[in-house]
Amino acid sequence: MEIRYINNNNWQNFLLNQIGKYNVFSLFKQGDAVPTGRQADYNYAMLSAENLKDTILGKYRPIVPIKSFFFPLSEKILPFNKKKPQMIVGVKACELAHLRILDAMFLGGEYKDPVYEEARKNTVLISADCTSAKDCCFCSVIEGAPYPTYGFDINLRPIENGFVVEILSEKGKELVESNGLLFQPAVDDHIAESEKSRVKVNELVLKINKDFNFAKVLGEAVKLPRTDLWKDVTKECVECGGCRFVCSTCYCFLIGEQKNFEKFRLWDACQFKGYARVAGGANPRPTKEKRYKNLYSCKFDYRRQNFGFYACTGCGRCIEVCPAEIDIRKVLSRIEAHE
Amino acid sequence: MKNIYQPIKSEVLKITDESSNIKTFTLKPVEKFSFVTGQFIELSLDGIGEAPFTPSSSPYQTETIDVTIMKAGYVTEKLHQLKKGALVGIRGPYGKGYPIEEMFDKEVLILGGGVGMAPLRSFLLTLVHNIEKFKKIILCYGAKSPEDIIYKSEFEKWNKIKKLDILRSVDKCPVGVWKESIGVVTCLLDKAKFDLKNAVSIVCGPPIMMKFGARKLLELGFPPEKIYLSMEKNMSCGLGKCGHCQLGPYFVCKDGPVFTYDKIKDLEELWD
Repeated sequence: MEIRYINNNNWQNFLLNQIGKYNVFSLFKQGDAVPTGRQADYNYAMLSAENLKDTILGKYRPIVPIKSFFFPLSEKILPFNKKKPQMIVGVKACELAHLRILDAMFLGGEYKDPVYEEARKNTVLISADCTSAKDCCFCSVIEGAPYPTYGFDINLRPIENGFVVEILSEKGKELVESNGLLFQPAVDDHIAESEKSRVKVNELVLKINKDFNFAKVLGEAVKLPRTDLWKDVTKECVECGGCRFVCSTCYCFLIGEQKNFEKFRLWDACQFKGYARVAGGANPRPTKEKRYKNLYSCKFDYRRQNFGFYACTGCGRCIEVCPAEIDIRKVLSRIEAHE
Repeated sequence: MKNIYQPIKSEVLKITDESSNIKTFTLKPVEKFSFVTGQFIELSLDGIGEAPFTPSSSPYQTETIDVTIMKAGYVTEKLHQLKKGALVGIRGPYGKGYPIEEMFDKEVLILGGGVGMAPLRSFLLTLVHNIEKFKKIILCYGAKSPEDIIYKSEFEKWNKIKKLDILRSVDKCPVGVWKESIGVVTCLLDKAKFDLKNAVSIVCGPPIMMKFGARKLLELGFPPEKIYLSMEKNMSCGLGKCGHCQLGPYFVCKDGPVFTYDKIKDLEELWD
């Protein structure tokens, strides 16, 4: 992997050069929409020469799930429109892990989903190390880390006055080469500074999660029936499906028919009662505790069997949006403790 | 490249009433369409909806395909209103069919219930087409009442086939109307004659019948890997993407719909 350095000013120029070539989406502070008592959030917006000065990389991931760029809430799938090339700036490690799952689902197996593939092919991913963590972040305790190690085209490690730039893919290489004058060689001090920051944020995530203990639960214990536990955990669940919709490893969708045999799709979620019901009324998961358990089986057992990794990256979005304050880490800890 | 969600337009050539709520639609796709018996298709009604069905015709019948449909929900209700000449869409075929070669030189015991006879008709016609390759075929079929039996006229033809034993039951019926067995379909298994050591069994029907059918076959001594079940879940995309037909670590649409019992016996929600 090639490494460079770029200062803040040149980075702005780099972004400016991309506007017009790509639909560039980058992060902005989201002020008014932050629910009371919760930590500051970010949102993606299309970058322009006007708002360029306000864009930030974000200390941690925004609340909008990364899947929205490749698999939006609702989209036409037959026929489907080709997208203008897009560049997403500020993607975090947990989101690259999300894309690993989505790639496995949509592009793996006998059939490739052409709509997802098209969006994925036409996208440049510029990721960034996290420089802090939210209270709900738990990547470091679930086989992840708050800094990207795979899946990006270019990764930025923020340091004083600029970034250490990691170049992983051909796309990334071409981008850096075509803007060669903006980049400088990275020196050892730059890299040492960025490594120090990585260690610090990783320790922060571990500290946030020190009271949770589910190292062993993942995989085996989740298979146990534990009906009482699931009933207790879901006592206050209002079945809004919010946790599934913000989850970027949730890929389930519903197909709708339009005139002339055209089709569209919508996000769907296993937490909805009608999800698995068949004609005639049989329903494999008629109760909310069964549906809720299914989500843990899916993330920590089934997808692990299918792909070799968990379909949970510790991004914590499900914790953040749940009106019943159900915390996946507490649930996993309870399973682990055989409570 | 063709979009994987693109259906092939197909004309409804013929509609056959099988019972009060079951019809067979003979479709003529505008493009060549072939399948392996046991695979399923997604059948769409323009602007209305799409649902999974297993063709009930023989895969050796190549010009047209038959789909036997019970009125059970929104899409099937609308399908039942179709007239000859209507256009529908079909996608597929999807999933893994019955592994016919594994059954060569064996006795094949077929256990079917209700509209579950639809995929089994395709399977049976496939076996009959290759009848010299099988030792014997035993078909045990049950329906709610004599009226609910589907493919009534075909049973007469099938009865004449050597190497094919047919046993039928109905759950209940007025005295004197029905000369064959009365009771749930599993009771036929006690009457069926087969060589357990050299037999495989194929089961398709409503979940409750599959559950007790599989249980009975196990009691009779069938090893779990010799019991083939045709699972019904909410297959929607057919491509292993949309998630609806999840059955444990499997997706019924791509890993099934035919499973041997040993693969799925320990899964939660198996019969629900």
